[in-house]
Amino acid sequence: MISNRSKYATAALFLLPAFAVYTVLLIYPVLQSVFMSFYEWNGIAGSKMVFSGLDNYKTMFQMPEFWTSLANVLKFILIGFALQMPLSFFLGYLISRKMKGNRFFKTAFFMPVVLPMTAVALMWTFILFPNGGLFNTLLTEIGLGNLVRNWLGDTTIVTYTTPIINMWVYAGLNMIIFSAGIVGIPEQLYQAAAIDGATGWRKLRYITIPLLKDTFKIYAVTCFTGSLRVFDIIFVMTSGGPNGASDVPATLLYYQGFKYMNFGLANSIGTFILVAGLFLSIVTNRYLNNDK
Amino acid sequence: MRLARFRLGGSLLYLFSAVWALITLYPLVFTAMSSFKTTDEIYSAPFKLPSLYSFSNYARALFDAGMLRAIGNSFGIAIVSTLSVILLGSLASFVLARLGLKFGNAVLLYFLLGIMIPVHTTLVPLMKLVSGVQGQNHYLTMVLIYTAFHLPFAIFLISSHMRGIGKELDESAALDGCGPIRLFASIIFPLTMPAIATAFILTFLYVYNDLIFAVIFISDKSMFTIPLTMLTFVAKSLTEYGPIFASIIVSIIPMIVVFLIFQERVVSGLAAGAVKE
Repeated sequence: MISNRSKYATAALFLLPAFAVYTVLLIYPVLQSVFMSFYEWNGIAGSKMVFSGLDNYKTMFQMPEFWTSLANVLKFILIGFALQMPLSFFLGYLISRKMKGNRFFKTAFFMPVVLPMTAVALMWTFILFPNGGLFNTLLTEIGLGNLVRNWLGDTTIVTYTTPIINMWVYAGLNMIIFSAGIVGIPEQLYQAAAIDGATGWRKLRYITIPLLKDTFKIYAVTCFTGSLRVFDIIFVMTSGGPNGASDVPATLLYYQGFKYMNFGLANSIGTFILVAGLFLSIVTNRYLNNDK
Repeated sequence: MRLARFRLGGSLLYLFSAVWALITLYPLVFTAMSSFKTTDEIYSAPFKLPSLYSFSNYARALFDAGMLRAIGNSFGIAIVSTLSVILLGSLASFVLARLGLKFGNAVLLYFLLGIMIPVHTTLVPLMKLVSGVQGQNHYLTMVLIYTAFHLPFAIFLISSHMRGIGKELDESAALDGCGPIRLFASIIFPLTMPAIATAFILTFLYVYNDLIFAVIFISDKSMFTIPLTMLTFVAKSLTEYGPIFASIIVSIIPMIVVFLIFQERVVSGLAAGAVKE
């Protein structure tokens, strides 16, 4: 066996660099963010932070922009459950069948996940341009000209456009989560069900979906936390606009902190994102475990 | 009768697959085609193949918009950050997974906590920290920050693989007089290669695609990464569709290549990352 002394010396030598970098640049800032959310700070390096109690939170909860950003998160969650979950499940089901061209489809469906979000978001911004953008042109060409909209410029429509583009990006990733679950279901269960006369739909309803409970739980948690963390797609496609209509908490945090220098407020938004995410994960895990 | 219905169901599923593949790929194909066209042609013939394959849009994107330099910056930062994540991550994983220390599990949990932390929560304090040491516009700052943020997931991947390697190896190595450093370097590290490769590819992908840290910490044009360069170019020349589409293509090609070569690792690794959150 390795002697204890050399074991601890190695442990210290090997562990310290990772521990130090991680603690100083990730853990310390998180704690600092919670701490600073109770202080007022003007952002000038070296200037004093002034204790302000719950003022930042009061400001945050009184801001109409904050509630708009929460409503937008809610739309990401709604579309995440109403459209993206069935779509991802279905795609997962498709690629787990022994279908011709399976490999091609899996590659194609997954492709957007690996692409830089900035490039993808810019691509969609140009495709969705109101005048001469590909999408509206396409609608007109196929005789659906009355559906032409200003997809990113209308304050209501934009809050649905962005979650749908987000779905275009992430459906492939969630597809893998579902297909992993589907592949894990033992074949014998289906065979037994087939002997009992169950057909495709009933197999799906009574075997596949109930057995994928854990997968749905994982999806629910990633949908909640992912929706709370949305940033890139909004930052690039709309900058939170028009007029703040598409802001989400993370873009609000960025603009409040780095544009308007309201660092205290930015930290309270950051703390909110952190706490809300943890809260939703814990509640989802507990709730979906209890009714087993 | 039943056979007919089965076939119908099968071909419906096939049709749906084809439709979603079209929805996924067509925007990329459209962007690629448009990257060769003039602005007039993009407007007048959006669905047609380019009338001639001119690379002038690419020249404009690479040289005038600064994409060439940005590619260098992005690749440089991503590769150095990834190497640093792999080095620190595999050393830490070795200690946590192989040495059987009392506090090993607690420290591992401490690292895994980082996977659940939303990046944006840390931004203001990080900015305070970095500006306190005048660290903006430094490659080292970027590398250290990316290292900190991608270590948790790398440690998760690498340490779980290291745990699976038989303990007898360590004992026989010790009997042969092999110290912990050699044990790590010549036995455990090579045996962990599959997980290390996955961690490498994923970290590279995450850092290459990152937007927010570049936005916060880089303002010096000569250091601009690909996302920053594209955003400034679009803000300045909103109507230059051709060059903008060319820059989009230039920025996604490396990721498509990485993805096609390492598909299985990328897919399973990214899925593991999503599930872990």
